[in-house]
Amino acid sequence: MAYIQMTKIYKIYPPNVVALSGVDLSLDKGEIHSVIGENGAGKSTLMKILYGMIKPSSGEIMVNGQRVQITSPLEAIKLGIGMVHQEFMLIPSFHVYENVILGQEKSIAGFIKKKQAANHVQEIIDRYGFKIDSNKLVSQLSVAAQQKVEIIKQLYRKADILILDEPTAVLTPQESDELFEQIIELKRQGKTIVFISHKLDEVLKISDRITVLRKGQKIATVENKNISAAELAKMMIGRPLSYQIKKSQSKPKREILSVENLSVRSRKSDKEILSDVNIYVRNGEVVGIAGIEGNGQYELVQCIIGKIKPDSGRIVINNADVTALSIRERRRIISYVPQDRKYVGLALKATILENLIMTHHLKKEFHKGFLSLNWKKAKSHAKDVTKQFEVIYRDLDEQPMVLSGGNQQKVVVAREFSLGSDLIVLDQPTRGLDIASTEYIHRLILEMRNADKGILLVSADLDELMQLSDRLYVIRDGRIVAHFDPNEVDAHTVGTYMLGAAG
Amino acid sequence: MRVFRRVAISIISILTAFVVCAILIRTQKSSPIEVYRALYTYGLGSWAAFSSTLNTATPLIFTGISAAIAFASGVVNLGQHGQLLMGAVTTAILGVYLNIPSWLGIPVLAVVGGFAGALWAGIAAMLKRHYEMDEFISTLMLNFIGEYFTIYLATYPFLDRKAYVPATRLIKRVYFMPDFNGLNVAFFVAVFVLVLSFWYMKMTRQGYESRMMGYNVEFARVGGCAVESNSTFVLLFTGFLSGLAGALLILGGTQHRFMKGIGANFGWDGVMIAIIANNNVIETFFYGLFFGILKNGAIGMEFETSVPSEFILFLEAIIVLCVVGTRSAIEYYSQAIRSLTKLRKVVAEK
Ligand SMILES: Nc1ncnc2c1ncn2[C@@H]1O[C@H](COP(=O)(O)OP(=O)(O)OP(=O)(O)O)[C@@H](O)[C@H]1O
Ligand SMILES: [Mg+2]
Repeated sequence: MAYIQMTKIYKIYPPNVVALSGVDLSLDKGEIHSVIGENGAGKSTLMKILYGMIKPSSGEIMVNGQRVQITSPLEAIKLGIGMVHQEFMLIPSFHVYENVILGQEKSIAGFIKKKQAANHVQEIIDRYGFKIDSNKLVSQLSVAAQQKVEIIKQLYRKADILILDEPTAVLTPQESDELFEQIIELKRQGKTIVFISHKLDEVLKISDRITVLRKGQKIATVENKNISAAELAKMMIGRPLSYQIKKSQSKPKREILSVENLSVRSRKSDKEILSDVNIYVRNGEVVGIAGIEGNGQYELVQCIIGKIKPDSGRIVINNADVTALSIRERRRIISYVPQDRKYVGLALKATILENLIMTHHLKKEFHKGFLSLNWKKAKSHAKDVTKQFEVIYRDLDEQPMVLSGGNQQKVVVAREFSLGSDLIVLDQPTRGLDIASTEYIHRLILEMRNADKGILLVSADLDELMQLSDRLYVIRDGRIVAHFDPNEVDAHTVGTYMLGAAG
Repeated sequence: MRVFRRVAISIISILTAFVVCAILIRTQKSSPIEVYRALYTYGLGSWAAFSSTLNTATPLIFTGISAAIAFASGVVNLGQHGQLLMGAVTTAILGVYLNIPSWLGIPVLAVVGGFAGALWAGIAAMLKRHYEMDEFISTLMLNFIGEYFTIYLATYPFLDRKAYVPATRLIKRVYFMPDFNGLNVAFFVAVFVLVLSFWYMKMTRQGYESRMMGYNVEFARVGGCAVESNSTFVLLFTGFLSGLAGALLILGGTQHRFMKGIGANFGWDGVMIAIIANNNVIETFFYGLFFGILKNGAIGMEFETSVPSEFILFLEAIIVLCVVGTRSAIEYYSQAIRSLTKLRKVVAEK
């Protein structure tokens, strides 16, 4: 008998988005079970149903052969089900143990016994072999460590099943490996783990069984024996992946961007977020910035587009010093894909059309008369680019909210690449995207490079950087610590620099 | 299609509100039919009633559109009340002393009143721009200051000693705004403002930027919109509209002078109307008319039935709640029904 059996699960998001249609999933005790599928396949939805966060439209769930109604995460925890989300939900100014016990505090007359709580949490941390100090502040922890805190939080709540939704998206190869060791340790101690990832090699590395979803349907559950990444990809997409990325030798031309001696101090603490950064990008090349999340790459991008004013140093684009220019003035010459498509890249409640003409509206060709926008031109432009960039939508008046993640990102990329700027700044352009969309965007990036654009690519995905970049900088603690030709180093070496372990 | 749906939803919600109110009126031992008949007769029943309804609705349309444009742009201007009063007092005082011909004087006085409102909002705009002070707080506070400042002006320096309440003197008769058969020209100004506002929001580049700021200000900023100067402009423009409402209240209304309480509740009603109308300027206009009918009809209700005037305010509140509540309920259940039918279909196809 399966430990957990989900049968014929349907989920329709109002009014009519079919996220799951008749999916079965069974989990055995003590297995590592991966769930894979393209963007919008329904992985998160299925897991949120198991965790009681959303109600299925129909279907049933059995735990240990007993039929259950999981109406809230509290209920799920009582059944031993815990989940770590794609986005963390920790309070940075709290200590590790406080975050762990939050919502489950044992108190005496309203007072929490801090010391006891901290000790108890530390016990759990040690039992499962995590290397974290329960008395540290969460804000002092790396992303990888914060993720562990989320896992510990679930263990504290006595979870027997741990659902991990894309836990490796923001980790370096080393950190991912460490997480896998941890996961295997948890399995050894009898926990059941559900693992979601878009990276098939990871899935093949640690799973016992793999369930493939496609467009809300279950395609198969397979044993992880004699199966290849290509076969999995084919099941996920419904066709074999068609092309391989082939990169020609880059032929860089004149310098398009140069960042000189850039330093930024934090307003809160007096710490330097960026110190004395020097990089350059030339037309016709992709320049990668590798680094663990939170080491200054975000601020570097913000400085380039003008959202942060540096304390010292200059930014030169096309031989003109732009350090003093506003975002508006800079956006006339920079294409920019922000890392957060939902909150910065798009206005989810405006129409697709309105999203597509942002920044374009600054250009003369979209003006009509003294004050007006040329909506007719805007429409035909939107139709052209959605076609060219293969955005799938029903109506330009729809909200981007209803699009799948991959399509949302395509809207952003279509808008920015069609601006025609010579400098393109990409911040995590494929984060959270499935294989097909990722490959598609990779291909576009190389197309742009071959069309002699200068591209700055910031990414947490080292494979992506190794594949696409012509030159690669490594940033750590706000400093550029290395500068490579990616053909001459391997991912592991770069990872070592990212972690600061290199000589 | 989308427009039709919205109109249908609005009508159903309003009908629901009337049903709920009917029940409440019954509990007060009055006849709902009589009350509604009075409401109809005095709100719509004749040209006299209808034109007077339009006159009543005029200031609501201005303050409503002012709030709608501000909210749709992500600018929380809640200072319509103060801006209206400043516009009214400026026009009222100038109207006593200004000495130019009528055809020039009326537009000049109206525009100057508008600028007074813009200036009042401009204080909030300046505080926002230079000290990053939230306009939500500053416009609210300026309401209080505006209220007492204008009362002070009408009580001391510009008091008309012959009046029974604190009030300024009557403006010159040449500046009275003409009316056609009872319908004041001010209403046509309101229609013009509606068209202008719609054009600004939907067609112009700055209107586009403003709406995008309302949807997601980070998106707009990073996309290159001039967020700061647009916010300032929106504050000034919506302040202007509220000030204009006040100016026209003096030029076109019935008092032709500034007196305590002339601002009534126009500011807050405007905010409320904008919220009911989802910050859409056209819907705001129609809800403004609807509230005009209620307000005018309410006067009739008081004449003809035993329902006390306090009950009328109560009914207004009930109507707002019902409209908003019913609208969400309709959306919620129609979505639930649609997803259920979809589920049936998907299951059947399997
Ligand atoms: N709150 C929501 N309202 C409406 N539709 C939603 C909602 N959440 C998800 N969807 C839709 O349901 C489908 C499944 O989404 P889900 O998030 O489960 O996909 P996923 O497999 O986790 O994808 P990803 O790899 O991008 O995380 C998608 O089409 C998505 O657009
Ligand atoms: Mg997901």
